[in-house]
Amino acid sequence: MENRAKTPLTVEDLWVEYQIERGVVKAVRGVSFSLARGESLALIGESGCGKTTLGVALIRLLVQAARIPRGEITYWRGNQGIDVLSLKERELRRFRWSECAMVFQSALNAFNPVLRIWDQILDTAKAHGGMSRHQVRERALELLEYVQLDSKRVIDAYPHELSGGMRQRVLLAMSLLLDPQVLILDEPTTALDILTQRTIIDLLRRLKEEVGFAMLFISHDLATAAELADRIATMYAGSIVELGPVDDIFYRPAHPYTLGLIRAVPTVTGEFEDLVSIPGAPPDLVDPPPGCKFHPRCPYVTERCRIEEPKLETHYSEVHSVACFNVQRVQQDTLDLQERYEKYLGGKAQ
Amino acid sequence: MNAESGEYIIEARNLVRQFGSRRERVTAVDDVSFGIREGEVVCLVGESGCGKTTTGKMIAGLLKPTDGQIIYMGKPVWNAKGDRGQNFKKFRLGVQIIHQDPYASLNPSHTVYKILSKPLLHHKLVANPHEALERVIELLDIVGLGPVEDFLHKYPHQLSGGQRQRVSVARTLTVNPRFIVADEAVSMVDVSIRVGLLNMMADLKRTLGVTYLFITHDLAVAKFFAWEGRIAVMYVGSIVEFASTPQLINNPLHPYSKALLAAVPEADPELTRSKERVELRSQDIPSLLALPSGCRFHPRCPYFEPGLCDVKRPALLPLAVDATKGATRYVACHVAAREAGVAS
Repeated sequence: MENRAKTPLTVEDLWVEYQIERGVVKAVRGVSFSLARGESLALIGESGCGKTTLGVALIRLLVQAARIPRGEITYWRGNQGIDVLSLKERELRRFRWSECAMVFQSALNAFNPVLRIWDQILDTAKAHGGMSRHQVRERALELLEYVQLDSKRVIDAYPHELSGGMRQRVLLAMSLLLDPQVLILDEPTTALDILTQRTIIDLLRRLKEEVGFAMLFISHDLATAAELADRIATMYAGSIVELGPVDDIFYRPAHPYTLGLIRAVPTVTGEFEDLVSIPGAPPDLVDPPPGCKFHPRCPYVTERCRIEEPKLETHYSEVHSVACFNVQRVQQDTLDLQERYEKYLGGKAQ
Repeated sequence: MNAESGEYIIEARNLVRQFGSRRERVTAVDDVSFGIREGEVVCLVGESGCGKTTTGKMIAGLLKPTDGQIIYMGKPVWNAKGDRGQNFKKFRLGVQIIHQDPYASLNPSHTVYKILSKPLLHHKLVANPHEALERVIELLDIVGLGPVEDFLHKYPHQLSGGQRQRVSVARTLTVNPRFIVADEAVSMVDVSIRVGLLNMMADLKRTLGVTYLFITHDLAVAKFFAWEGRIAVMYVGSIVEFASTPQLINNPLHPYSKALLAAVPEADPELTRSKERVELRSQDIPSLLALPSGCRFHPRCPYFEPGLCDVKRPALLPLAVDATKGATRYVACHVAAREAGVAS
């Protein structure tokens, strides 16, 4: 039996739909994964692939027009599971932040501009937990120090007095206030400058190691994922099309879309390489193509791909799964990546 | 920089731009000089607020410099009184800008045909609407939007971000520019189609002989687009290093360039894990209202030397010649200058 305490979050066959004028947008289609303690999982994909919808669904903060027709989301504390989809509104409020906290993309918009940081922290604590005012203050100062801020100054500041990187750190500190098990980060470093981004990345890594969260972070940026993730899930058209350890995904990708992304992103200090873009554009999620949703853009497409949608199945190892009928052919085209990896490993051994 | 004006298509000489009221003035760009040769690609990189967009707008003639001059094809753009010089119209047509946000820069109530035909007819570059249509079709073909009939009558909202940005490029091409300022032109476009857009823009160098000033915060994009060109790194209003792209990427000399390259995450796990970090003394970016004395990077710089860096502002000096290109590299740092045996 799996030890549930080590897996604070499991998601089974989750679907999310939006009703719009034109029809139904299938934003998340049959997503399953689990998140282990102390692990960080990156959801990567382009705009409109459903990654943010998935993140928001996990804490049930979806907009009115959205519904979850199918699926299970379970948070585990010890051996006790909380079925999130059946929680009432009041129970949900307790659950959010104390079990699972989400840090949103836009660090400025997340704050109320007329309240001091301290008031926002107090509001959060009041809404979700049972700490006294004094306890909250102590804990808040401690957390602000932890994210390397001048806590005494920041706690009495207004949001506009802080820089983007500082606000992002305040949000991180706030998300830790109620000691959640799972932290969801939506584009945590997007829109930050390089040096600020570095501070946040290093801080997140420290949090993961010292606090032992399970972290799910949503990003369109492969470099942030390479830097922060233990595992990576590639999303396309609402589904996870590949899931595996970070090194497998980068040096032995098995899905044509993952490979396409890797070939399209330059490194800065690596060797100069010619890049290839993925032809076409992401599909319309109201009226997606039949079969594999990637087939109209895929260089490996076969007749079968146009009719049948491949399922996410384990590939050459237990921990790496992929949804593609042509894995063998894709992997033949990754030999240069595998070689580069072996060179790295060889370099380390010496 | 001490080169003959004749060799540059465009030159910035001691550009200064201030903003604000008399009571509270900030200098967004402070004494920036550089020259760009015909057919060259120069990337301007730096963090938000460093003045790269302000510099780009001055180069494109959208902002008047507070001080300094722009020389386009050997002639000054602004006259002695600070008004538009005789050369201005030629300059305005010859130098075009592509903005960051294709959602904001295209008129939402115009079709692609109208967006592209309007400048053609306005500047009398075509004789009649029939010729305009022919030219529009040609332009769509150049920027890789085909089949043409699918796009002519579409409105911007019916296009994807990548397609919109291609229309923006086509619009700049209507007036046959010799020089294009691209300000974060691919930042809002998804990863999978970004490379296609960059390659298309790079092709224009070859096919139409366009010269670029490419402004970006993304070092990976800068490296890819300007591999055969040069990169200028800006920090708080000034250029701190200007070198050929491979030199700057592989061997940065200014401490700020070093810090950026060490900090940037790489889309390659092993590469990113094995990077050597540069520890800065402070994380705070100085405010333009309270600039540090001496070198503006000195409060953060790990190589800071008291009594030197906080006293004297380093000039952008030629330090070494790039043997492969015959191009000089420029660095504004007392410590780097001393190591290269140059008096700063």
